[in-house]
Amino acid sequence: MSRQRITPIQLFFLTLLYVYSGLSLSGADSLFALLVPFAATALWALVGMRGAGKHRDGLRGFLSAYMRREEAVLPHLFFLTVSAAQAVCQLFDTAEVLVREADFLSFASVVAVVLAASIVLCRLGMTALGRLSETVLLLLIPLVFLHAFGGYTPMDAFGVQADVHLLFSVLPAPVFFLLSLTVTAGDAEATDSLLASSRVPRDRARLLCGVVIGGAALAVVLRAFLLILPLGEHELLARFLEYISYVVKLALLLSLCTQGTAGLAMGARTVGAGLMALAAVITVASLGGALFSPGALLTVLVSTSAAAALVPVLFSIRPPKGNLP
Amino acid sequence: MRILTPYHRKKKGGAGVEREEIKRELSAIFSDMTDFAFRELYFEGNTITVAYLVGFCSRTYVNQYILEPISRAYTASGGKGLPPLESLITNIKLEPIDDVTSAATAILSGNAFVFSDTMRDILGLSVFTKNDDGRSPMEPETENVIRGPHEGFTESAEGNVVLLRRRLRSARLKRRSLTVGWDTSTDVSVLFMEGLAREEAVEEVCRRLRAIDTDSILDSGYIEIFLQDGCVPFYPTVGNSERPDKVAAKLMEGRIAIVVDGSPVVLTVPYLFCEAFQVTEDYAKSPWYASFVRLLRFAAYLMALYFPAFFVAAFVRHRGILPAFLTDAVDGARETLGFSLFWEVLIIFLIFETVREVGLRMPKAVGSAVGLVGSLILGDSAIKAGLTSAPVLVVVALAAVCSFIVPPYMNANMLYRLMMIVIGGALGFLGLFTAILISVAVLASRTSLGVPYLSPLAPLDPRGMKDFLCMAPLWAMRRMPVSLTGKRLIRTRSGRPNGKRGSGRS
Repeated sequence: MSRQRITPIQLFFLTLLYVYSGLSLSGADSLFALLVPFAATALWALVGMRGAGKHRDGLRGFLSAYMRREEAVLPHLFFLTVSAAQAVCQLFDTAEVLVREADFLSFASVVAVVLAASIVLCRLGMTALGRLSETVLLLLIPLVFLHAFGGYTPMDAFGVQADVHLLFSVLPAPVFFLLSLTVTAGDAEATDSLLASSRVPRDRARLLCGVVIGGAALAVVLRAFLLILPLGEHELLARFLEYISYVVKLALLLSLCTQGTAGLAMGARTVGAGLMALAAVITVASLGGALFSPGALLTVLVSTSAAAALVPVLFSIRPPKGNLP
Repeated sequence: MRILTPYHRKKKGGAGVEREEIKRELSAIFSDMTDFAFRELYFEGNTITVAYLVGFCSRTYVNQYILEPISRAYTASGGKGLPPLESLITNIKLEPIDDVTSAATAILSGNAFVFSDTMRDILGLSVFTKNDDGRSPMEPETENVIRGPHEGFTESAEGNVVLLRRRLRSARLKRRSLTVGWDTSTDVSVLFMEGLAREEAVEEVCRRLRAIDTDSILDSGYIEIFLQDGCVPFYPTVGNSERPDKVAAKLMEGRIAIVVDGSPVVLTVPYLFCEAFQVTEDYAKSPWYASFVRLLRFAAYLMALYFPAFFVAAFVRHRGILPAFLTDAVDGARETLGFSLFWEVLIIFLIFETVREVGLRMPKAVGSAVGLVGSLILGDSAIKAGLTSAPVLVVVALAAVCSFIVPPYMNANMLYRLMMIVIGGALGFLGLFTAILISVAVLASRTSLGVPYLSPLAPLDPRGMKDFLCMAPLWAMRRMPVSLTGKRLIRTRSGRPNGKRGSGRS
């Protein structure tokens, strides 16, 4: 099996970590704040159902399910640009959270450690990342078991954290990217013995959509569970789970960006790389408050990204080709 | 050296001269070897010569299978001649030889090479007379069990294959043989269950074995290095065992066994991470108890890897998260010490590993004494002398003791633990989390002969999970782990005993 394919179970765990990372980084602590990323992920999964009907070769191939391949270049480049910005945000947010714990380290060194870990994971490939996400099961079981004995803290219905930042943590591109890499039994690429021996799903798109929604739902439930039954401030297992989710999400975004440009023509690749670099610079500058206010930039990025995600849907409502019988 | 073949024999006249020529060629090959010998039987018009290595070749077998039958036949014929040697020699393993190089190889394998004046179509015959005197199967010291067979492999490859065949009386147990090493010509056998082991995996093992181009293979450990996936893997991707029952069980799961002549350790591939936590004895126990013990093993394994590192990280970098009574206790014990806690842990760790290595290499009787002196007297004296503190000694010793619970990973764990201590001391929890994440990801990306190393955990195989950290009863393991066989094969047809799903249903 190629190093860039994932199984539906891995899709579930990667979605879980992807959503959990956003919830954790943005400090979502109210029911509304928990539901917003879940709803967004579920929406992207539903939008991506058409593309998930069969196995695709990456994000660009996924978009070609909605439009002609040459038409898909622009939305593809846009998604790459936004993902680059999201990756930079993820990196700096992670470093900001971690430096609070590791106060003996400088911000730059924490950034370097997290970035190095993500690059290593990205280089190992999406299959390794998917398998790594599956091992989280070994962490979740003792974590849930321990927290079952934690103290009870009721949650608010509406907190102050439910802002655009939460939405920015679950943009459509990574969901589409994960859907495009998933291989199920019956696909030509399912050479893995585990997949080859599984049953062919009756409706592939519905299965994968359900898996993504299930993963997002579990992330929300897990976050709520850990908030309702907290163990203490310095709970190592919970910190470790958060750390894994941060790095896995960053590695996922890096993989998206690197793979997104790998299959393009030289010109498009140069433009893509340039746009991603520009997005990264703008994001760094805005996070530092040099250019725009961070909130304004995020609002712009989230709304354009959401609009771009709906473009495929509009493209998909085109009349069928050929003559009527 | 000119190679003699039947063609040369036919071409030349004078059979006696030809036999003499073969003798000369063999004498040249085995020159300066006092254990090489000829035994000649002179008959009317024919001379039979037996070439062999004294000691390596059994004298009893040579007498019993070659010399006695020939003499008896000659006497019975009344001196009128001999029937063909192939029908006289009463050994079951008889092989015609066509050239001197093959004859030399046969002799070096412990066989007797028989040739005579009257042989025309072949150069001679190789007769299996290898001295199979060796130690009898004993319980291996490295893999003790309370319940189960007390029998282990020996240094004889043939004997080891017999031990496996005795357990797996099936024609599906196939064996392929090859010779590895220019000088040692070590016999290596590949055993597998047809239909269970993946055909491409068998071919890959044979390909890797054939690709070994080295002068000597003195033990199965030499083969192991060439069979590994990756250049220098940290964790082993080739398993080994001295227990026939264990290897038989692995063969029945679709694995491949490699038996090397001269080594009591049989290799098995593919080797997965989970195997280190499985013990043959588990299957003879209650699944509840077996599951508990396996979880305990896994917890001990994690403790061996990370306990000292987290101790160092917490006390050196994150003192704020520790309760006051703990910091007070450790600080109180370390009041008079000159080293920092990081260096203290590191030094005690290195001393412990040195004592362990000395205990292993010393003769048995002295080794246990060294272990006692090292662990009790040295440790106690070091605390009294103010060279180390009791908490650190407890942490390092506990981790070291825990590492023995998973013997296959003992060496890898030692290095890994050292690395973790250094990272924990330098970068605290952030460094440890990163190191754990990367090491798990690297393990997840590895394969052993095409099978994911962390299987059945990653990729998740629900059937395989029935025999991982928690163990289901044997009747519940209805199917084989898919990752190993690549097929959906039924392992047991028996249903739950005394249950609704009666026996015989699949």
